[in-house]
Amino acid sequence: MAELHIIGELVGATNFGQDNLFGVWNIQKGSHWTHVSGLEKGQTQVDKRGEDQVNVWAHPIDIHYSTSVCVGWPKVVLQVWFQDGYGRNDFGYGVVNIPSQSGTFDLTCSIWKPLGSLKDRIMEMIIGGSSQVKDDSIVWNGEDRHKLTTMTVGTVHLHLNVLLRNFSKFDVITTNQQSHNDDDL
Amino acid sequence: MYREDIDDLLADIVNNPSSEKLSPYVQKESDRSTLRSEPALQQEQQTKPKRKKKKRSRREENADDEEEIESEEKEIISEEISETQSNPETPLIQYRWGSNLIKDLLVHRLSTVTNNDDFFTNTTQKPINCNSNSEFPRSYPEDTSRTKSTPTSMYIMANFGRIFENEKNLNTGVDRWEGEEYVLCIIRAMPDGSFVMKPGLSLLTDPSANQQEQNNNQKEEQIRFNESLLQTKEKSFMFRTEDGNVYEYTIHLHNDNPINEEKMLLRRQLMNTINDRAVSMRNNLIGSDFVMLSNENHCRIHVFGKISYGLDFDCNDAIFVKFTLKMPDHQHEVDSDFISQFKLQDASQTKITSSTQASFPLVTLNYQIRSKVNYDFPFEFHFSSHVQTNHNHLHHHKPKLLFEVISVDGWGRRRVIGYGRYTLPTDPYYCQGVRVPTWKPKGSIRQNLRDFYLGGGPELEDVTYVDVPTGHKDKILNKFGFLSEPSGTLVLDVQTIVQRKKTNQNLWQFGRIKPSLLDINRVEDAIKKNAMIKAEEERRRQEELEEEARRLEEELEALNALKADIEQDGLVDEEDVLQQQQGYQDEEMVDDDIDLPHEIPEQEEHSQVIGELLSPIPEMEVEEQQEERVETHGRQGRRGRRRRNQQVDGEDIDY
Repeated sequence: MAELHIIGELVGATNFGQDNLFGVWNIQKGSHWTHVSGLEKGQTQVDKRGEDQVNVWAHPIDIHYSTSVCVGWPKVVLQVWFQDGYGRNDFGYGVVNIPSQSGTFDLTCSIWKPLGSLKDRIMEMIIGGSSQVKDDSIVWNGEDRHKLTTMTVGTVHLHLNVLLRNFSKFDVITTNQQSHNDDDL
Repeated sequence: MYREDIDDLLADIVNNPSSEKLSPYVQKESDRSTLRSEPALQQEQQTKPKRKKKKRSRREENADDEEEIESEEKEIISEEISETQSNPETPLIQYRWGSNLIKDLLVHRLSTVTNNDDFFTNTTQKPINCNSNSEFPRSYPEDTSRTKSTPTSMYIMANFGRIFENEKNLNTGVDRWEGEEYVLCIIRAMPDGSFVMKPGLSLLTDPSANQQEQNNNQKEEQIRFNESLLQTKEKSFMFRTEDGNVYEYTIHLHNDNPINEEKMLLRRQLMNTINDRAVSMRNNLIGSDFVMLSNENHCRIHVFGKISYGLDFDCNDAIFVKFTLKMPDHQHEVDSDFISQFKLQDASQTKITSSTQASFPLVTLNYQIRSKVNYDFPFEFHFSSHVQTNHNHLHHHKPKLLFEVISVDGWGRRRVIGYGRYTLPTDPYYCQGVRVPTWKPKGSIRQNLRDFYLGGGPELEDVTYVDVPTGHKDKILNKFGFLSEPSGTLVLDVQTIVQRKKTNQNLWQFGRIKPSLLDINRVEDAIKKNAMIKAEEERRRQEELEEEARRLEEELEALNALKADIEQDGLVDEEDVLQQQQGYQDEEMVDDDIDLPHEIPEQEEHSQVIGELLSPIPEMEVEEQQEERVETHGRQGRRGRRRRNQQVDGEDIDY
């Protein structure tokens, strides 16, 4: 089987404008993907924002997968929690496709936050706390997303090293590198 | 490898020595077991599963709960007793330690618990008050059922007290002492024959290093051990007495017995087999199968991506993006045999049209005002196609994504604020931040007003107008007369993975197909082609040289003819000559005299040059030749121009 190594870190978040931020991540993959080693989910520490609007997490990610198909390429599903001074939580969601080429990648993930009805929004303004997605699959699946109203919040940054193994053995081509070499012939 | 894995493996090996062909010595073990009498075997088989159970239960136990372990052990012992009592007739083979080498090695092993250091932390440890006359105090109720010959725990203690030298114990003859004792280490014998040591040994030796040692010389071993003592980090433990003194100590294994080479070898082999097994287990987990292509011409294309965000849409309402996958339309293909035809895999499950959530934009003032709308909407398409190898057609029909950006205001009115199109890459591709510019149709002023108050601006009836509209048959796609204005930008992440046979690789480089390289013997072709190109270059150079020579010859002839004319009739009009002279002077500011007699000696030079050019040039003199040729070029050019001027009567022609 072909193998995929994902080594990197959850660098941090920008443009949230919130002080106490932490991220919860897990990896979604197809049913034919086998988890060999490494942690598939995690939660960062709560980080206070620096002066440059950057919350740093530097949370490590190191996973080893093996697969028999290309369908269901893994994704990092992110959930960002932000706490205000009274301990009330807000939630943001986002998803990142793991690159299909080997190399080093700086990835960004645009985070959105679900909005409820007008009443909910007023309640949120006065009492605090925000609506939350009931089923996380909406974050990485994309089905039935049109029913949702959301708000743009910020960006989460990931730094990933991706290693592929044995993919070329099964005629799976992910880069144009080979074809360039053929051109030189 | 994790310790638990090793434990599992060891348990497996111990319990089912004959089930797996591990190594010769384990097989010996199984052979030996056949020597036993049958009832003994039966009994062994009966006890096997129980043993296993015990081990499992032991592993599940938390090491800290001593009482539970104690009770567990009690149970086990009682079980064993009951077993022996129930079958008193069966002859039990009595083992002596070391009589069964392998089994002893396997069964009696020392596992150290180094991770649970909470036992010996910096906190003050409660001392045990004792003196030599009293019995050793225990923190747990003493087990009465156990016989004294089966100790379960061994304590290594540190004594802080004083010795009364004069007062001797009459029974033991030892000086009486009083004081406090602190526990340094507990070694506990488990019923399955293993030991648990808490805390572990200070020196953490690497088992892989042991494997590499082939030479078993005892001296060397000792030296290496000493070296490793110096090199490896020692793990020190500490405890604090009630006085507040902190003591630090290390625990080393000091083995008085000489190293048994056989045992060491066996141990190494065992570790090797365990490692091999762990590797094979991992390989099993990884597996080796992969979904292959059905035939040589089959090709799978997987496109993943997401709509990350939209930029600069001039709208403060919620915006959502609706996108449609437009498959290539092959109906209008002139040739029916195109290279490939895309088919959507599991088309029933894939949504061809889907829309993102409605998201409110966030306006940022970072250097410039930008409104950003986050979507993070993932999409995934899987195509399969078949390649026909004998066709050189370019593939120019690819699946496309057509975008509609729609805003929803507080009244629920929808308004299209952007149309866009993106052609999905069908080659291996990865890009983060693909920008798709969008435009929106522009209405008249009246329409705009209506749009502002009532909602519902101009929009396309058919989304495919963004691309080539469906049913378009003309030769030209004319969109003139349609007014639009630019709108925001959509940003996508797109990646493509292609699974195809390598023989078709060149064919699949769309837009870069080289017909000559399509054959199987591509290398030969390429070489031939290279040779051809070289020959062509050679030929061209030869031709150039010949042409130059011809030109020079012509000139020579012309000059000769001119000279003959002048000599023969001498009736050339003086005006003509004057005109010629004026022409020369007009055209070239710097000029040498054009007295004809001057040119005559040059003829020889020319002829020489021509001769050299036509003859094969020796390699060493190439540079000189070239210089000469440059010179002659200059002259020839000038003269040629003069001559032409003469012919067309001073008309200026640029050459």
